[in-house]
Amino acid sequence: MHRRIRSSAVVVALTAAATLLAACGPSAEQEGPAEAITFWTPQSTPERVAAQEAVAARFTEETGIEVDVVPLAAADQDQALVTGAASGEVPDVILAGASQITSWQAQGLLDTDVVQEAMDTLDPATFNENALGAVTVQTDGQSTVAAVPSDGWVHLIAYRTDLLEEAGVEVPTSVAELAEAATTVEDELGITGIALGTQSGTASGTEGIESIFQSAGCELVSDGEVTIDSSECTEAAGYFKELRDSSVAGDYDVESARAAYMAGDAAMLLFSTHILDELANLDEAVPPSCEQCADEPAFLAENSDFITVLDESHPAQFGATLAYAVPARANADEARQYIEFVMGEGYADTLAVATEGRLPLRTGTPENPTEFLDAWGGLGFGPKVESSVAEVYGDDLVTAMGEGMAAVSRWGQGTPDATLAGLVATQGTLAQQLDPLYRGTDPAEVTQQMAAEVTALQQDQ
Amino acid sequence: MTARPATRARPTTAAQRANRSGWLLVSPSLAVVALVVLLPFALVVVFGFSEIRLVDIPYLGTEPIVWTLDNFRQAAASQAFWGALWTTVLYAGLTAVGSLAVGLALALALRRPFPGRGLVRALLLVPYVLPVVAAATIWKTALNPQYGVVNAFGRAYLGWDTPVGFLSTTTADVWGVPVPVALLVVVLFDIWKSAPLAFLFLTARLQSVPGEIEEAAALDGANRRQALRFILLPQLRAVALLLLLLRFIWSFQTFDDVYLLTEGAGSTQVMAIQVYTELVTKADIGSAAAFGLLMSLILCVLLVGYVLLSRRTDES
Amino acid sequence: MSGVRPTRAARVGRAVVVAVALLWSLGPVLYGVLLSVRPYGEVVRDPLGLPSELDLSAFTTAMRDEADGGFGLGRFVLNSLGVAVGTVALSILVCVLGAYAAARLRYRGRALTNGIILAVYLFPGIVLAVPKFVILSRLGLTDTLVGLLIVYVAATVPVALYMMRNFFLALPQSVEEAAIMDGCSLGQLLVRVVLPIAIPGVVATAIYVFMIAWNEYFYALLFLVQHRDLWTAPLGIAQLGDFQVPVTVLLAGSIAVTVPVVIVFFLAQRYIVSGLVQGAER
Repeated sequence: MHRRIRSSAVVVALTAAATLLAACGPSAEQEGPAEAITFWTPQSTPERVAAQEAVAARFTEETGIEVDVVPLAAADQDQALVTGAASGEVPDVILAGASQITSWQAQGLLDTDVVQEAMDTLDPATFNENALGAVTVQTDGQSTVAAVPSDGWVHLIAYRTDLLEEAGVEVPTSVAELAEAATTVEDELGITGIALGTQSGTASGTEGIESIFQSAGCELVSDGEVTIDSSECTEAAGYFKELRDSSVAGDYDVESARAAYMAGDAAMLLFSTHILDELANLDEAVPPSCEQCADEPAFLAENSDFITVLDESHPAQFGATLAYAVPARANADEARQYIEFVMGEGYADTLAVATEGRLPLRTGTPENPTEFLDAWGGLGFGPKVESSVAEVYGDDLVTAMGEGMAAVSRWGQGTPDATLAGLVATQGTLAQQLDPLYRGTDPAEVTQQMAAEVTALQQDQ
Repeated sequence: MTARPATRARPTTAAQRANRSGWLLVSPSLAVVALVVLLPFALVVVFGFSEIRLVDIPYLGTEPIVWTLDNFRQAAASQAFWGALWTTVLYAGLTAVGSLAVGLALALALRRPFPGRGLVRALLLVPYVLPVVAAATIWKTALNPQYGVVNAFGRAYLGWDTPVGFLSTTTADVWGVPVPVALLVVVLFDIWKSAPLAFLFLTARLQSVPGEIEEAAALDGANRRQALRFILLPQLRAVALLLLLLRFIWSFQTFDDVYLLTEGAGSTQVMAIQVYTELVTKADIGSAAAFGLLMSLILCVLLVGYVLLSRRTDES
Repeated sequence: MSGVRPTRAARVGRAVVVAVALLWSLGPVLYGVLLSVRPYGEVVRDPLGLPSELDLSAFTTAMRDEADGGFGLGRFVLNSLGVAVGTVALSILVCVLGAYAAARLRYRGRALTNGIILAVYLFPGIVLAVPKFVILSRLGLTDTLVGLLIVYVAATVPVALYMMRNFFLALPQSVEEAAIMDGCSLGQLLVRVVLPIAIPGVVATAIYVFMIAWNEYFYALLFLVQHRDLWTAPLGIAQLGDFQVPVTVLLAGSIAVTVPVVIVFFLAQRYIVSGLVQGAER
């Protein structure tokens, strides 16, 4: 009796499964009137969503294609794309980071043909070469552009011209000089030489390490071989400790590092381009709080200068690249039109959504190669959008920013090692080793330990 | 009680009727479980044992399935799997023992009536009732290195030099002993949330221990500790074992608590988080399904072991 | 009841244990409440301080709609309420039937059906997540609260069945037998005879199911993350954590979603507890 019940239950389950599955072949591709499209963007604060919806409205006006702008943080995009791909309900365009795009491409989740078409129209030569490399995936000796690079931000070093002068320090042009300068400032003036993310085991520490190590010419991994224990990296670890020791207020995370510079308690700051509006007192949420700032709100902007590429011999700046990807089985044609619009006619307005954090990766058109970079310099920045970067800091900085973006580099980018580098970053593998470094362990021993941990991760893949 | 022998003695038509009514009444429950648990499980088996990728799933049923054991081979060869398994066993084991111990201490302390006992009992249940998101938000705030109360207290009164990143530190030396900080924090969190349930069950069991046994023991000259050790605790053994098993099974699958507190940082990468990473970060459904099936297998083995064990103790 | 008189030392010891237990259980919650009524700046400056004044702005900011400069938690709470109430209704309906069968009817295959329902707990939620999503999307239910509701019903069926079965077992069987003698059909028996006397048990189970549905986070994240207007309260609070929302506002939101479930739970606490632990008394 039991036997019969059990087998009948199995039959019921199987029938149910079969019915559900049979009913569910994907519906045939429909050609015909333009479909509405869905666009996922990580720029998710209410003002930014509104600004992106305004751009989308212009597109709709022009083409008749409706756009649904959905704000989704990167982690949520990952998850929603997984469930979406499994059920056949994907968005049409996703603005996403380079590392996300690499792993999606590895699982065949993207439609790269349509991206290639858009690139052909837009002309690859008008793009920042470096950014193009970040979203190009090599498989079996073939390279595929997986997404259309849009914009990004880059690490820069802000420094107080008045304080460096007071301490008798030249503007550094290498990590070694940076470490020396920071130490001298601390000795001479008794304030923090350089503020940067140094907290052991945190995301801030992870970012600080990659930024400094790269500028010192250190690679995490090259051609599948872990190289974080190379002599460059060991040297970099030594400098990193010197930079950290130039703090008079212990270890910083990204936010407290910024706060120290804003308060006038640090002579230099390693931060992303997002600092630009805050220094100029254009963001009410993060006002300058230094002694002189009470009377002179623009004091910090006036007395700050920026290093956008620290070491010309290793032009490698930490940064982020955002690019437009199209999932497989999206409404490809409409998606392409939208990408071409936001990378052309609607590009300046798109960048203006968050000017200080969205530097153009398409610098111009074939006719005018610096059109978009110049346009960016003239955009209002900060939440209040009152003045432009060029007005506050001058045209030279705009050009320097372009150079900084051209030097944006992330470990493993554009190679199969990108996955490993991504894992190392998300798991904070290197930042875990900061604690022993600070406690005086020999840097060579520290980087050897780092290499061991990274190799262990590599073997898991 | 009187009805049961009667039912069995009735003619077959009554038995058939009971049969039909029984299936009729449970069928909605079965239907829901079949749709939302059994059918998905069948699909997971397909994902785990085939070469299907996420993008192929919408075409499932229209194209032939290529079967393979690769996902399992890769899982077994990956250190991530074994690392996560060890972390999970440690996490679930510590949580199960911890919540049982805390629950037992509470149940014994509140065994005898005192003014306000009902209120105290109810208040102790609050962590169990709290939404996990709210609880995790509070804990994260309390442990924050910058403005959290724990670090502020430690630096003001315990002489800590630097704030401790409780949710991101893998190990820290405490008097020369390496301590897995983040893992212990998530274990403590889970104990905090789940001990009230153990407390409830143990209290219920304690209340049904007849008072006479203890009185008789007292007359025989047993002191309180002896009464506890030789009379009460043996009575609690069965329910304690069950609680250990259930808590271990639940904690073994925990995702919310760890994800909300650490997202797997500080070596708190438990199995459920590992499955999530395979699934969401790497978008690899086959590998995620294989990890998940292995998890279920381990739980099944555990359950079968428990059933066999409890049968043997019943017989003896 | 008390055969062995506690000594004075034992009483003092118990008082200490009770005090520590209350501090351990309620301390974090009280901390959350204290922080939620302090301005954010003050919390950062003086983490150990007590509220100098009652500042309820964090609560209003959390609950107000985005359009009014708030974080929209008010709407998320309404969504949660809808899903939780729907889950309760459906889950109770399904489980009253199933539990009655499990408690009273001796039908063939009973052990198997019970086994299948309990086996639910052996499949980690994270593992079944994707196929669940696939199945519900084939039914067109993934971007609605209804899909979530179905998942919650399945998640609560085992424990609700178990509780209701315990309640039914505790009912006197003689009434039902009399009703059967009078020729009541099964449906009449359930509605007219069993349910009226089982009401306290049904209410207790309903509240427990409500609590589970109200608190659930993971499936809400998985199903609804791209539909902000459908977020439930726990999902809303967890998502706001990524938006650089001042921590006082987050805590205010957390406290606000905690209060309803704690109140409801306390109202029916005695019944819920007895439903949960009845099996353990043997």
